[in-house]
Amino acid sequence: MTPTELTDEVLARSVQQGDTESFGVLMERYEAKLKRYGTKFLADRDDITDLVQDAFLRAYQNIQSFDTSMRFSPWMYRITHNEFVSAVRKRSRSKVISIDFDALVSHPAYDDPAPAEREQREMRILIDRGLEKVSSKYREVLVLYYLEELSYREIADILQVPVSTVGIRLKRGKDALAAVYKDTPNPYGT
Amino acid sequence: MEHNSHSSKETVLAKIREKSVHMRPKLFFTFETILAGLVAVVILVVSIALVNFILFGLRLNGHESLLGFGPRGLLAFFVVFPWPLLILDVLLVLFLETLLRRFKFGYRSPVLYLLLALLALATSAGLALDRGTSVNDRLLYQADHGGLPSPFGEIYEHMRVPAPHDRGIFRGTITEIGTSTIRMQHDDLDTDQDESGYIVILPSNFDITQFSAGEKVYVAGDMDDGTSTIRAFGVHPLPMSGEILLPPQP
Repeated sequence: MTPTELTDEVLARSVQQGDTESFGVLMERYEAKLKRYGTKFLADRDDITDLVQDAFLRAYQNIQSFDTSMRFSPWMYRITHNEFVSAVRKRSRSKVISIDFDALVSHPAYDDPAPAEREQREMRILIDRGLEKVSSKYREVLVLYYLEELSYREIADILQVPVSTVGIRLKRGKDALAAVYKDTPNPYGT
Repeated sequence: MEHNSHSSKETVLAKIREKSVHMRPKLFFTFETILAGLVAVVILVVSIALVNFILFGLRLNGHESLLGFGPRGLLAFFVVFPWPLLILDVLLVLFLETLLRRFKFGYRSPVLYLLLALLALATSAGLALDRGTSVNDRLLYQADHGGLPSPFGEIYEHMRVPAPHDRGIFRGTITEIGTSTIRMQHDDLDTDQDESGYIVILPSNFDITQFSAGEKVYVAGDMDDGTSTIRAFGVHPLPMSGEILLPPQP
């Protein structure tokens, strides 16, 4: 079996055992996805390639903390997310501590439904058209759910928030997107 | 894109190969998790101890009696309550909550629920420690007899505070009982001989038969100007069972 046929988790275990080339394979698999996540999440940055590289370096440094019985994808997104958030903080230089009201209490009404194929396709088109006018905390869940196709639980682990918070943010994100495009005659371009 | 991806990969792999980036050993993460867990436990213990001290202080100095003295008593209770200790405790719990968010069970719980659970845990454990055991009384006894090492000895010794007369709070020992008054010798919980006498006019319809001479009482009321007469709106016996609550006599 060639390295490209192995699962992410098997490759990660090889990296933990000292196989640097396996890390190269993981990079090939994730670089485009993470750059796409960065482009949608950060929108106005021109250093996304550098930030993704930094995320890979950090992932390598911390690979021994990865539990190979879990999925590699949320772990890698978590590291990249932290890198993006820290880059945003550095630029804004804001010392204000914000309270995330979405994560204060649970929102039991929002479970993880499998999105219908049509909804998935429509949302991808809307997201591709731009998310600049949507708040970043809603932007990231929209991208992770509709573009990266991660589950609520995986997104919760990436953002380190309760699962129900992912649900409420996704709903609010969709509402925000709908509000942005409500005046567009044919938003799906179909 | 293909070229970019290739160069990014080569850049990262080159840094790894030339050892400018090192893989942290597994032990580092194990140690980090254990350390975070230990710090969390220490903070929780300190938080419980703070609640315990607040409750013991209120019991030792008799201030919890104010809760039974009606609206004026309630107001006085809010004035004498050790708010700085409570604020410190809340800050510690907030820090603990932030620390626990490192762990999966921490960030998967809604912020408010975790915070309330931690506050409830600290409060109930502090309450159980003070009201369910005699550990505070025994430690105070040891502190009074010089048997408690520093800094615990000093902490317990400073838990007795004089009654704040300017807030209308008095403590003393009943020396004489009248029809609607009691004569009381002021006791500021120390061992010197500066205790003075007061006449306490009891609230109307107060059951005076519950008191006897020699008993210790906690009094809330207004002192008449230029006299040593207190018009009480609340009188409550202080626990005599707590002889150990009193400093050793010289």
